[in-house]
Amino acid sequence: MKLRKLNIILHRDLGYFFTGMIIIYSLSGIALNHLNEWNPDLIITKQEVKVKLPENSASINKQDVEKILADIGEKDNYKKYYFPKKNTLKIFLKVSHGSGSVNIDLKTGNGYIEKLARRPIFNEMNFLHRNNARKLWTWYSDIFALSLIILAISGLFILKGKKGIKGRGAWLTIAGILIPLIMLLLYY
Amino acid sequence: MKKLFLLMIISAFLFSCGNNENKTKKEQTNQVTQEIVKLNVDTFLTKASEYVGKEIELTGTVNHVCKHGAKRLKLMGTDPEELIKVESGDKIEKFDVSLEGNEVCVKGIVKELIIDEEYIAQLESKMKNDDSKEHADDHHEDLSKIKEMRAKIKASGTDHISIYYITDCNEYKVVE
Repeated sequence: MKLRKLNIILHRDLGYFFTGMIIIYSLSGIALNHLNEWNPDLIITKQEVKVKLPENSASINKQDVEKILADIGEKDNYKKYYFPKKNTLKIFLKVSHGSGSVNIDLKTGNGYIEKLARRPIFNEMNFLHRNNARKLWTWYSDIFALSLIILAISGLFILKGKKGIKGRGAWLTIAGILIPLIMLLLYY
Repeated sequence: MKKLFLLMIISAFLFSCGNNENKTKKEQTNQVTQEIVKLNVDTFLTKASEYVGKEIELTGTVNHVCKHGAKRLKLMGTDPEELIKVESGDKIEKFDVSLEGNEVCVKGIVKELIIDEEYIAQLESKMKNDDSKEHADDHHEDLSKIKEMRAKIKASGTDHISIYYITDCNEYKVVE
């Protein structure tokens, strides 16, 4: 088989096979690239509440806590409570696939409910991208990375003539290498 | 004949390597079967210095799981202001955020962080240079604790204080 034909077949088949992986890593890469702007793994919600405090807020017990939860629509979600600081009550909530808490100022009754839930799809993609799975995934993702290198190099030699690597392909490839080098010079 | 002789030498080499590895694994297993100390957070706060570098089991209530990466959590005992940091090891890539509020038992190595004026100065410098919001909640906590650290060093009468934490946590179970 000619080398050019083998190159095209390799590029084509690796491209087909790893389409899913490329999309997973690209989307999670964008997500993880913007850690300053958002939490790519969790959806964090905060809701302000005002509760009616028990008569003697200095000696709150579990029943009082459960009543507070019922008043704010979290009746069946009690997990635990404690007092992180004087005049502050914190109640941990049961949340499916996440966590939650209620923080109450025992002087005013003002507070907030904070809940954390897994961000669907992104949580799973980030799990793979970060190699949290380890074990076999380490090997498979290494194979994927090597395949991307093969895809990149084989792609250089797909076309012939002035649109190939001897023509505009060369300029585009050089530009693509120069940009990260310039970024390194600027920011490293 | 030459090939057979070469094969025998390679086999002998591999066999001796295997035996050495088995011997090492046996030694490690013997070390692991030594009893691991079990503590709760309150006891750990008073005795942590005795276990630096050693593997222990620590029980406490999960007060917080780091929202970015979930590789750390904090355990509390009866005093909610005294928290013990626990860092995940290689086998636990991250802690489940749903652990907040649960009583857990973690197994890991006790480490000591010595906080002196040099450390605090490095921390301040790092915070000034790092405008990332990635760990905004941790940064805010660090800022408020720097003043506290200096006050504690002054109160200790020495030039440093020690903070003990758990690292390489590769095993945990939910107690309650």
